[in-house]
Amino acid sequence: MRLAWGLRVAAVAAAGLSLAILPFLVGDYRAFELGRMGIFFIAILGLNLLTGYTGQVSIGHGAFMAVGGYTSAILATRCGVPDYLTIPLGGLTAGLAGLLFGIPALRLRGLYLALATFGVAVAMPSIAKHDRLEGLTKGTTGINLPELHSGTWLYGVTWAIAAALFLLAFAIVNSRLGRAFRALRDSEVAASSMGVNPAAYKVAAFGISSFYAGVAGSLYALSNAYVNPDVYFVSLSLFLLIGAVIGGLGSLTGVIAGAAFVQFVPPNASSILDAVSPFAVDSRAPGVPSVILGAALVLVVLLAPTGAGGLLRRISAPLMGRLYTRPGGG
Amino acid sequence: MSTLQALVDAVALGSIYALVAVGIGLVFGVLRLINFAYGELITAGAYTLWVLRSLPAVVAILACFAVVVSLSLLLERVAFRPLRKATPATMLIATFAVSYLLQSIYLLVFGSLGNSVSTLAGLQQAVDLGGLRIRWITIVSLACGSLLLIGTAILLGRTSIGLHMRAAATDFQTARVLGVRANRVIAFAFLVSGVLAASVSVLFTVQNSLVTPDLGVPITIFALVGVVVGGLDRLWTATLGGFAIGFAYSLLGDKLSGEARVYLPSLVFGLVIVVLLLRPGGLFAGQPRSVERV
Repeated sequence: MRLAWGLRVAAVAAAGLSLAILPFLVGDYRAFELGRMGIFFIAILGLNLLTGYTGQVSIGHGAFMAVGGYTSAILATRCGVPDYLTIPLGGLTAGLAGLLFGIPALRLRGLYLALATFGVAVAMPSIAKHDRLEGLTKGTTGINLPELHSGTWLYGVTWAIAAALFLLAFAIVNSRLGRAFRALRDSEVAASSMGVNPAAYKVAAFGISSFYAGVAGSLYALSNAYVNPDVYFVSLSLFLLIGAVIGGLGSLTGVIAGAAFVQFVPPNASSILDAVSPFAVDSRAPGVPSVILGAALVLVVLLAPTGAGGLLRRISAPLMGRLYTRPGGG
Repeated sequence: MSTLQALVDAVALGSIYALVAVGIGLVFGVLRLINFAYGELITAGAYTLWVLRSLPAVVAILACFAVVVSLSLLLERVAFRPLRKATPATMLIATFAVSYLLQSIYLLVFGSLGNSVSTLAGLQQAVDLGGLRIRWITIVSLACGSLLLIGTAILLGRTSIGLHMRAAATDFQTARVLGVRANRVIAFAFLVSGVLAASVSVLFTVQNSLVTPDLGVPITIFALVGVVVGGLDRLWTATLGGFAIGFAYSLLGDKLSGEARVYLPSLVFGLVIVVLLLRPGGLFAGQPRSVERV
């Protein structure tokens, strides 16, 4: 038992140290990309709390990212708040929006909920473009933030927040709250007969997960140094769900794989083909990268339907079982 | 007169969307799977018609049916059967992935500019019916649409495989216990939905001759909206929803100006959210038999 904890602490410390010096080794642009990955990590973490742990499918989390991003942009340009201080406010605003959406969404379940959230994602760009809000959101042109940060800055800030939010998610999942979420996912009737209030916990899940999305959205705005309606396009919501599935629904560590997929596979599809294809194919011809991306997506989902988290569990279960077994114990 | 004209066109588009709704609803019934790749089956049929454009129309249409039905069965076997026990979100993403892959393949093979199909172009001509100018294709769409819907109804209501499908849709586990063969019923649902997709691709390409790689996307999304708003749990309400959305879309598209058209998707989805919140079981769903407490 003690050995296992020692190993864990050492592993976490080593990982933390190597992550801290990483941006200085790989250069500023790579650091920017890794920072972007951290943003997806945060958003997918939140979506996983909702979809993976509470069983409510959302294809609209890009919209909550947009709420966070716009909050940051408006506060930073109008009120002169330093942009990094707007991140928690972006999260809170989005969390509030999530709570507000979560209450009527209680009436919906399964695919009906998925479609309603998808509706939010589709409607979001047009809402931001609408004339009434134009004074606030600057319509199609969007808002430019005062400062463009370096990749290293983004990397540091994003992953520091990501680590904190990961610990928070870990704490939530292993608390009464998380147990209530999972109970609701597995059987609402059983959960409510055990004294779990479905409405309160479902709304709470929506709020928490939108808070995560809002933080990610703020960071996204900061990383671009601008927001406009098309930054948070419908496909962003879709990619978040893709990331959650690839990471493994109901697995927190797996989220890192989902974030890596979302950040790195789409733009590098051609290079991946060059690396794996035995034939000389023009990997940059129009259409080829998207075929690769599509094929990769289908393959990943078919080969690992439980995502990276499921694979991890299958590999680590025997190892961990051995570590935790007390000598002589039965 | 032009109002009546618009109504007739709207009915024709509505009947096409009703077919799409049935195709999606059949598979949903037995598998609880929303097939987002359904539109890509329609696109496959349209491209088959384009590839075989120099052959006689009958041959091209038969080939179109063969291609679409095989593709539908292939998708079931290769992509959806292995995932039957996966979570709903995983299945959703799988169908998105298949849809994206097929679209990319079309883009790669046929290019993004679009190809013009002229099979059965004769149906574009209009007949004069007491001052109304109606294109033949409108009449054909209506006739084919009603025939196929009646055919599906007979299949589901009067044959033993139809009985199995209805049983599976009501309660898959119990149906299996009573001797319904799961794989056969599911494959049959994909077969019928493939036949419907092929019919839609013929009717649709005659109406709008341009075939692009993303032809199926708006069809799927709008039909899906209709299906869900109508009520997904029963095939008839879903069909009615599909018809309603095609009908409304055709009418609104005529009425709205170019400026307002940008907001059309947002408007439609905004309405969907409102409808869902007011009537979670769908617009045409009856009173729920048991009261759900949330």
